[in-house]
Amino acid sequence: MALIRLKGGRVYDPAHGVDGEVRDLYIRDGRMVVPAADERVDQEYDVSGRVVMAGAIDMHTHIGGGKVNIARAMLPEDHRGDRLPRGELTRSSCGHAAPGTLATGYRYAEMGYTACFEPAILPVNARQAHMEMGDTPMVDKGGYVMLGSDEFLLRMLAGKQDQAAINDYIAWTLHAARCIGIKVVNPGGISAFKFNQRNLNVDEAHVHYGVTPREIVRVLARGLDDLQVPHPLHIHASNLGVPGNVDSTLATIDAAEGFPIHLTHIQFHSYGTEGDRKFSSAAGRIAEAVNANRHVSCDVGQILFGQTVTASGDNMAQHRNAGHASPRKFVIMDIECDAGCGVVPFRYRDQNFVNALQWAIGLEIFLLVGDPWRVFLTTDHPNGAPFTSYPHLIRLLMDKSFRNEQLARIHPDAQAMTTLASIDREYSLNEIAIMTRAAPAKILGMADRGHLAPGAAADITVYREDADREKMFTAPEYVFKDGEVVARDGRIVKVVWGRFHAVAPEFDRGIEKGLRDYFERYLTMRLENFKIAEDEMLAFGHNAGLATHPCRR
Amino acid sequence: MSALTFRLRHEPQLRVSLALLVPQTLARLSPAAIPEMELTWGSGAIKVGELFEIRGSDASHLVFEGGSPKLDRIGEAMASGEIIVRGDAGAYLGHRMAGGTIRVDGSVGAYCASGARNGFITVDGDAGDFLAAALPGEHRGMAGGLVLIRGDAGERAGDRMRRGVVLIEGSAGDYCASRMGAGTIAVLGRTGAGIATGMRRGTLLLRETPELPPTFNDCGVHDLGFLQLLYRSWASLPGGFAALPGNSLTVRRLVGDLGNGGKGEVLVWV
Repeated sequence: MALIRLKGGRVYDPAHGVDGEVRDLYIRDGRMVVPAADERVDQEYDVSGRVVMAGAIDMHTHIGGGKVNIARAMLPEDHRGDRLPRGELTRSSCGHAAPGTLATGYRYAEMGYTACFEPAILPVNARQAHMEMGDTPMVDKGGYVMLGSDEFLLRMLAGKQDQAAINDYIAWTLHAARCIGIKVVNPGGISAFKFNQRNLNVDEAHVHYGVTPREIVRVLARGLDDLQVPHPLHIHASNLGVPGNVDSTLATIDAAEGFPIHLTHIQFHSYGTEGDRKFSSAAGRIAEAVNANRHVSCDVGQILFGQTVTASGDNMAQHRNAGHASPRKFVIMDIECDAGCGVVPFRYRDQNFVNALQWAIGLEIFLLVGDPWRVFLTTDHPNGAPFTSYPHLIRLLMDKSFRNEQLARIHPDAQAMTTLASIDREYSLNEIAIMTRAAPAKILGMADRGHLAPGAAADITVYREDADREKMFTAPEYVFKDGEVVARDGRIVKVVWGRFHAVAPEFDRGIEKGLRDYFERYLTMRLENFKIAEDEMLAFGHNAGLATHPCRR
Repeated sequence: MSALTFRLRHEPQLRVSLALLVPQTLARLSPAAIPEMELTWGSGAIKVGELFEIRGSDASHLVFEGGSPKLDRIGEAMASGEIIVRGDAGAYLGHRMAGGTIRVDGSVGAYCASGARNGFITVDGDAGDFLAAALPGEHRGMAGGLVLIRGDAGERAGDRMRRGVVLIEGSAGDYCASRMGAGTIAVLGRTGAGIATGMRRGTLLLRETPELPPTFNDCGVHDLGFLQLLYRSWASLPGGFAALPGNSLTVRRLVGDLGNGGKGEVLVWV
């Protein structure tokens, strides 16, 4: 088969300690290869002077599932205001904060992203979420399935069932929903909200089940470790957005009892209560805790100013924020009697004290967490900002003077409450490559993604070097997906359909007996219809396959 | 300088958006560039020069000759100047208009003056549904300006309207002034079912007795002096609204919709 050479690029492959070395890369059959000494090169791309990285991976982006569709339906103005006309190859789509599946895929690929992970799939909605992602072109995708506020787990915990039974349930759910990880959202809180609790601290009991978020975090984190699922428990911690929630975030780290955890959109969980307005940055304490606990990783959920929409399973937090909706409309709803969701459109303003400080807190966390392998670049799309603002965010991280210019524009009281101006750190290209490529692939257990060594999938992004990092990361010169050029200079040149990624840990099939009774009695769907079969996954959308990754840590 | 005139070469087979052909955009372009502009044409594009024969040069006065109900978005977001349409116009005429004047000889489609903030629109023919109404998902319909329809208006005229004046010389369709938030609508002809349903505030001035929902209270007959001022502001308009008789200051006042705040008023000439 044809051998392709990328000649003379400056390669950043942090998974193998390659930091800007000039070297040639070879591709055959969609994979990175080492050619034989006398082998003829069939096609060559001269990328000398260019920056070459693996395709970027967004490990937390809301691109599918019920709440995204609710956001789309609720915001026709978002679609009218941002139209993507049909191109020669691409179909028409639209949307800025809650784009359609097509716009999502095209725009990710145009920015050099080749894989995206939907972080909040309700088990009961998994089929629909996968179908939607099957209709998202260009990128590989996968999801984290939500446990922790589902009645079955809460019953198990209330009934003091042993860890082995819970492990079987976790593994069964991953199987049935075809996901790559487990997410817990406001542990127990989504259910507690329905029992009229409006706050749930880490050690506060669910009024009906008597279970605390601490127990939920512990059994799930331990369960995933027992099952050797590569991705640690993905935690949206308690008290999102509440001033002073730094304490519950630190308590959540403590609750994991040393088992690996990933704290998502940690910016929304790093608030103190100092100052006249009782709202302050606790980024320092959070960063210190992440630095000190090697088993903890986080993604930031940076906010950027402008119109967006917040979509979350956390009905409790969204109910609290609904009064801030802009435009003034929101949805807080139950999902299939087993979960909840809240969608609140939001406009972040740089002249609003709270928003301005949130912006600074996110950047403080990026800059104060020392290890780029444990802090990931996200805006929690679309909750902090649409993913299309990533190049701007990268520039904020890599360019101190640009960052300080932007800092000078925000609400003056927020400037006074942040230490951002005193932080000199600038991210290097290597560190950006770690946090957007190597580290996400590692934490998701995808051995053949996020790096460029022989055997890896040939997902490659080639950037034109530019001192303006925003410009550089907006429109890479070439984006390769599985060895083919799919985008060139920020335009789609070939439409492909990425594959799904999942894990399938072993479990005792006996779990289905209890589950079947539960489904028959309480849920809206029969157990057999709930489970997604492998061949079903292959029929969703246009997807190019299902990669099931081995369970080992 | 003569008005910049666009003469339709042939009846368009597909809907076409003329949103780009507004004074503030055309004033920035050279005469040679105008025929090369691309308009949305169905799901594709068409050049202005292919659709229209162009003459004249004054971009602050635009004339569209040979109208069609497929010519959408005429005067969308226009800020100043004048647009004259000789013939019919399509949907979204004067959508999000901020100032200036639009005059249409013929009839217009749906969503005329939706989201308009200021400006003046006269239509000699009929208006389609959702005149001065909110687009789906939006909270506000027309938020300022004056629209005069010499013919009839379709359904949902003034739905979620926020401010401004809508004058209908003919009849209004069903659900006129539904969910209206503020502003003034006057209808000289008949009105249909569901009128003023969910009306929160605003004024509806009618000649014919409407079939109001039961959630309106009859507050009796009054002589309202402010109507004199209102009529005076309409004195320069063409047609029936310029010549309302002096005795029409006496009105029956009905207030509602009590199911939705109930501060709207419906005034019926007696």
